[in-house]
Amino acid sequence: MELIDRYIYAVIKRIPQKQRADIEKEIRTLIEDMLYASCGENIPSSADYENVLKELGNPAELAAKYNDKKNYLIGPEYYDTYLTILKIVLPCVIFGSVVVAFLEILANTPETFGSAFGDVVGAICSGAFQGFTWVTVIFALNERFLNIKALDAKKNWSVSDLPEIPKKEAIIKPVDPILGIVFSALFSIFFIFENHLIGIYNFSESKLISIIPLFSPEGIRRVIPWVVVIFIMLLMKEGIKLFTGRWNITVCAVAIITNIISLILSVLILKNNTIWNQSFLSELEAAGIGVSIQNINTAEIWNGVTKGLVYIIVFGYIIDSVVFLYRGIRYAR
Amino acid sequence: MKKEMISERMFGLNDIEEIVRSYISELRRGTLILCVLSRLDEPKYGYSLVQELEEKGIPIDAGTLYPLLRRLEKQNLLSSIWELTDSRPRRYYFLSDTGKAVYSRLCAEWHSMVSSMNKMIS
Repeated sequence: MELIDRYIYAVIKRIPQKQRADIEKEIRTLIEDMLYASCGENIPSSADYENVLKELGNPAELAAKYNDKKNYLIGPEYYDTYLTILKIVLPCVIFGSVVVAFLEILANTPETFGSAFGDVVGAICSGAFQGFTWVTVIFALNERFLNIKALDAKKNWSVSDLPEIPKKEAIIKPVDPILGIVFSALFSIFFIFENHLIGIYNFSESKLISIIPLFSPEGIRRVIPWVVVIFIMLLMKEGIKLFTGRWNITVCAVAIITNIISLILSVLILKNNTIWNQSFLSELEAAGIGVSIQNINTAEIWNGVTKGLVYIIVFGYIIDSVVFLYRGIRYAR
Repeated sequence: MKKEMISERMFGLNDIEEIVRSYISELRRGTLILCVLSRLDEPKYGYSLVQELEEKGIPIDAGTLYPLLRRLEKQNLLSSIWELTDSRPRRYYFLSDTGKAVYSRLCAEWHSMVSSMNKMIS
């Protein structure tokens, strides 16, 4: 009977491949038994078929009873955290995308206001979509692969697991690390893909004529792996801040170690001459900007600028690490 | 005015009806496994179990019982075997050794629970 096949198909398609054959056989014999119970030796009418299938109920519900696995993407345990993080990430990503879109508009000078407006709206949509997707994917992966461990830990908890109530100043609000992650992600992406926008903007009568890039796209392409490592270091640093939720020795130690690694890599990257736009000075001169400094040795200035950048970064990292050190000692317990 | 009060009371009654029904089904659900285990000291196929439980005043949907049997088998409380009866293949379920042990423990628990409950509500 075709109705039976259709009913069984509706159940089976919602069940994992491996169990299908077996469950199909089982449901088929069940339906036959039910038909026999209602009609005996008589040949069942189509009304009998319908009644039996109605008694068995909605195929989706029957399949759900067979599947005792979780059928949700993010479970109730993590749902609140998920919403909180989305609420922080989405505005950040949208803000960042808008900034990038404006820089993009500035660089390419779109023809009409409409197309510029379109660019911004597009950036907001794709930024929001990206942010939403990544947060969701991370939480879904956590649900599938890590949640079980969390449950185990929950069963074996002891009183000593109760966290100390941190001093108010020792608490790290989630906004802080998340902002850190979002902005450095945006910065890394910007640095890798849009580095042609970093440079001297050459305006003439308030119209942008050209951008003289500070970096060489070629050179930057070669250091991408190191930029990624620096980003991973930052992820570790902000990640441990996010999940610990308070300052303590471990958080500060991890922060300082990742800082040192990133610092060394940053200096190595910036010291590498190939990442700089080698013809920056001549382009500057061609654009008529360098004229006023013609008498001075421009190469030396250029050297000084790149060196200065290295000093600024070293200085930044040292300040950051000293702050960590202070917090680590202050809020040790 | 009077009409309103009556309808409100009727609504209240329906509410109680609804709540009672949902708690009864919760109570039944808790005892279901004990019912099933108690019937399977000899091999039975799913639908015969449905009929037997209904006769004994414990109606259960086949759509609930069949997945339950599978789950109990997965937990090693039941074993199963396909057999031909009346020229039809059917899966027969029966208690495994683990199932027997679990059943006797659950029975003991049930008896003590019933006597405590009786003391409380009688």
